[in-house]
Amino acid sequence: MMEENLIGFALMALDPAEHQEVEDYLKAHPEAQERLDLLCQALVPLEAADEDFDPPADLRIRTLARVAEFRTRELLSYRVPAPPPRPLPPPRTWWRRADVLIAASILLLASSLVFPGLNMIRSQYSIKACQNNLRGFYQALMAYSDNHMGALPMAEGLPPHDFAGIMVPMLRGSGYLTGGVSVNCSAGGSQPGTDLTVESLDAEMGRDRIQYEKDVFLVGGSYAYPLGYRQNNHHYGLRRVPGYDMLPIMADRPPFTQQWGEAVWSGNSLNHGGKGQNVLFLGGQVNFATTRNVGIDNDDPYVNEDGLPRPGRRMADSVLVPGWFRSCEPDN
Amino acid sequence: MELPDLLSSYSDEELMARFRRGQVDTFGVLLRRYERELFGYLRRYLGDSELAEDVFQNTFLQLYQKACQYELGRPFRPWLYTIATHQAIDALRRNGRHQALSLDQQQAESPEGDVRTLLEMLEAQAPGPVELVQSEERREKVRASVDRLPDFLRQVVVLAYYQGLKYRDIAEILDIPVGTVKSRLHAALVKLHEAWVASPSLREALES
Repeated sequence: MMEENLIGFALMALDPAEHQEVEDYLKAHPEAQERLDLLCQALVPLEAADEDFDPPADLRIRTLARVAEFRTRELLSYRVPAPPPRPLPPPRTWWRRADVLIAASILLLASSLVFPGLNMIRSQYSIKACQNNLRGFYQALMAYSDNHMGALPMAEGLPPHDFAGIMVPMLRGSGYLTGGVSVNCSAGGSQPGTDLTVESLDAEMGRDRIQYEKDVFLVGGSYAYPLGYRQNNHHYGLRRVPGYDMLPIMADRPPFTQQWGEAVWSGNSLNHGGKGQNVLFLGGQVNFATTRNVGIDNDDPYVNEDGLPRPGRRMADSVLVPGWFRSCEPDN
Repeated sequence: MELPDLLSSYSDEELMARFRRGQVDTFGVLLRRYERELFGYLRRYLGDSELAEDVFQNTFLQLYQKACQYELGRPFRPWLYTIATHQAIDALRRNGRHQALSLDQQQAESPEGDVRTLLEMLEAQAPGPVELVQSEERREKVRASVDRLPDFLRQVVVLAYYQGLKYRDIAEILDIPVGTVKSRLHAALVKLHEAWVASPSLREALES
């Protein structure tokens, strides 16, 4: 019997099978017991230094604080720092001829650019306003998630709450979504949206099915919402999970309007004239993306890995769809 | 939000699975569960309270960041110890205290490294029974002899003897074969025994 195994036996560090093997060996060879006793003596002095170290009283709190600090830093790191201010040139009280020529050229150029420029400014404004709106949604989503063990509000697997836009009445009805946050992207031209709650939708469904379907169509406005994913015939919603900060959770509505039986349109959202779409990520950042490859691993967040606007195969494959899109296939 | 008492009844692996699914309050339960054990390990391994505290915090920060890399169902304790040991080695390196692979290590791990076995040494010396007396002097001397061991030997002594981990778990933590764990522990005990025998005051103290 090797010494190493006898030491391991003395320390109870062997696997059960090996431990049994040594035990059997010791029974069959009584003289080996003496060797084991001798080896145990070599371990005895170590016991003298076997102290119980008390952790500092605030170790737990400080560890949590370090994790929280990391989280904050991670979020802050997405902000782009403002460029340093440039020193102003010394003021001059008179104009040289060159200055006059330059000013004239600028005026000439400006007059030819003024109309496209105005359009560009308007477009930039609408993108920024839309981003601020999505940040308002993020605040509401995080508040909801804090009170639901990290889960985000989500379409259920079965009617009547199986449409993606159900998130809006869920947030609004429970007070997480304030009146200042709209389901309409400021670029306009989209659906008007509603102030419905889950309860009023349920009541509507029992009273007037056609009106209910109209409400479902309007409730999500001009944004796209997550449809969750399906695994083993179960429908799952999104959760705040470490490592998924770059998962898109809301965006401008995609260019397509039909979910079942129609090819999905390619191209950007029409909310901003097809130039791109604002995307809100699980980590809280909002980006204006000029292509649709903004999901985890640069995938298209508007379709799942099968290329369809339907529930994904896993959380990273969850898709963003117009509010009236359903999580389950309609009965045929 | 589940009550902390209910969460406390879950296994480490279940808590990690829930943490990965986004149930963030499980993180606090794991932190509380391993606070004393892991701090004790780091304090013993690093020999410095402040450094141990810093590494402890970094370990749980890493756990938070790498939660998605945890394989569901895999034993949690060795995984946590692996993170902690890597963090501890990094900290020693930053402090210039980490010993790289040395001639000692090559000798200890080569077949002809240990010419004498521990048993041969013990039999040759034929010591009397050693009583355990918790005197501060003895504690200091034993601790100093453990601290003087090369890192790669001290790791296995701390993990196997003081932390009570199985050889298989130690092998996983240090990313070495189980056989190497056994031979390193044996080599460490040989070195400790040599040190204790060579130190008349310690030997006297141990035999008192």
